[in-house]
Amino acid sequence: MLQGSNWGRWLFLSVFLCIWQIAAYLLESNQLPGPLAVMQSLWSHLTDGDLLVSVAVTLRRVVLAFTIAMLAGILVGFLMGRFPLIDTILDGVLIMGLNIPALVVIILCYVWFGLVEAAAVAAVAINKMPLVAVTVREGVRAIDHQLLQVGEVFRVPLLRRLVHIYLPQLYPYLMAAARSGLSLIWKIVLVVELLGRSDGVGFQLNTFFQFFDITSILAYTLAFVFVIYSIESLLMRPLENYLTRWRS
Amino acid sequence: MNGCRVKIKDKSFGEMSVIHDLEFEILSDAFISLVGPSGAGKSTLLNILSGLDTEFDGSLEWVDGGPGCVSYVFQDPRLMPWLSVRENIELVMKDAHDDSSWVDHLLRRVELHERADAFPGQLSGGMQRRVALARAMAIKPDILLLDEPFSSLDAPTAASLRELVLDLWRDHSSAVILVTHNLNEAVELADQILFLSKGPASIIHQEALNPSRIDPEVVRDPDRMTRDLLNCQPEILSGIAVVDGRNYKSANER
Repeated sequence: MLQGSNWGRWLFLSVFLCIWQIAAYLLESNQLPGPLAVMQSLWSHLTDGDLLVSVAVTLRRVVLAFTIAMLAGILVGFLMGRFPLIDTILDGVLIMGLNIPALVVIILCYVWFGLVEAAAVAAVAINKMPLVAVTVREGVRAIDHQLLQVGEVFRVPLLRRLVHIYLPQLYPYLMAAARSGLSLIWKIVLVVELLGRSDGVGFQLNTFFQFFDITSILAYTLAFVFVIYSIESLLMRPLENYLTRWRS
Repeated sequence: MNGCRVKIKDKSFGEMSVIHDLEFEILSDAFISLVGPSGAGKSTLLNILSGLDTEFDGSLEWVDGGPGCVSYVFQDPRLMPWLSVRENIELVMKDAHDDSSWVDHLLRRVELHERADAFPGQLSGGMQRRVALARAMAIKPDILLLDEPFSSLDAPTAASLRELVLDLWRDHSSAVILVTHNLNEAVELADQILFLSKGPASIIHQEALNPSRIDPEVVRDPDRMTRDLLNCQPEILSGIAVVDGRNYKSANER
């Protein structure tokens, strides 16, 4: 079954690349370079070094914003799920945070704090944090209170309770928040870089856009997709498998 | 622990009184069974004794100043499914690393030392109950609370678990409070049976049983004892006790 699904995936990818190459050959336009041209461009950006530097800079911003958004979101979500009064107080702010367009937050951060690194990271983290908080709040509400009573009766210390009773019940919600968080943060980081930074993938894409260099844009996108797949297969999936090993 | 005096004047949920004027004493090596119909407030009483429920009118008076160490075997095992058998036991211990031999001893006692690394989902219902029992004993409690721990088990598994509870009680000098609606079970295990009225719960009858059962050589005949008990107290016990599906009848009913 697994082999079958892998086979289907490779077949789809091959057919997609063939159609892309044929379409590019027939159109003969700069606006749709073929996969071979994109691969050549990718190699040239790799050997020049600009691609690796840009991806590293963007990745650093992603990691920073992701960490801040997750930590703040988990804390706020946990408190809102656990204490109804805090939920009532913060619910309005949370709904506002969820619905304010990312672009508005980015512009405001740049206007208030200047075109600096901290403003860029803060803008991304602020955009993501409400989504993490909402997901974690739902997770805390769904916690099995009978298991919490075990911790209470046996007077399990608070830290041990958090690590062994609360957190494992929140793992599915945390993984969902992390996954949706990463995908959203990638996108917002590029916009932040495009608007107010002089390095990173977003900045490079803007430069290519000025020259209508579609080949380089697609080459960078390909590199970008590769990094996302690597994070998913080398970090997220093994982590999820480890955390849910008791289910097997 | 030298004992605990339980005095509950009233326990209510909103307008509904669940326990009213209930008093009894738990001696350090007592095995007390609370028998009563469903909805008699038995589990509420255990929640109060365990400290889970502190909103009641009354007091728990510990003879030596207390509060004593209380552990609880819930109706369902309530094991953490993501922790192994050993980790579930270690979770409740003060310092599991320094006391790993105690965990090993308990695992051997409940015959699960070979399944120490298994997750609860990989164990049968009976095995999970044994882990819950080992976990409850891990903190060396002064009082062990058992909330219908044998219900929903098949007869042979329930019998072996009852045997295990008795063995652990003999070995570890804890007081045991067993809540059950099964009079036969209470007679088989306990030294003292407290009969609770249908809510609001209060003690309507106490029965001290022959303590010779503490000697494992003396075999009890719970069937006969239950029959005798029902014959002696037909008015009081009629309608309270459900006896293992074997339909014991009081003298009046014959």
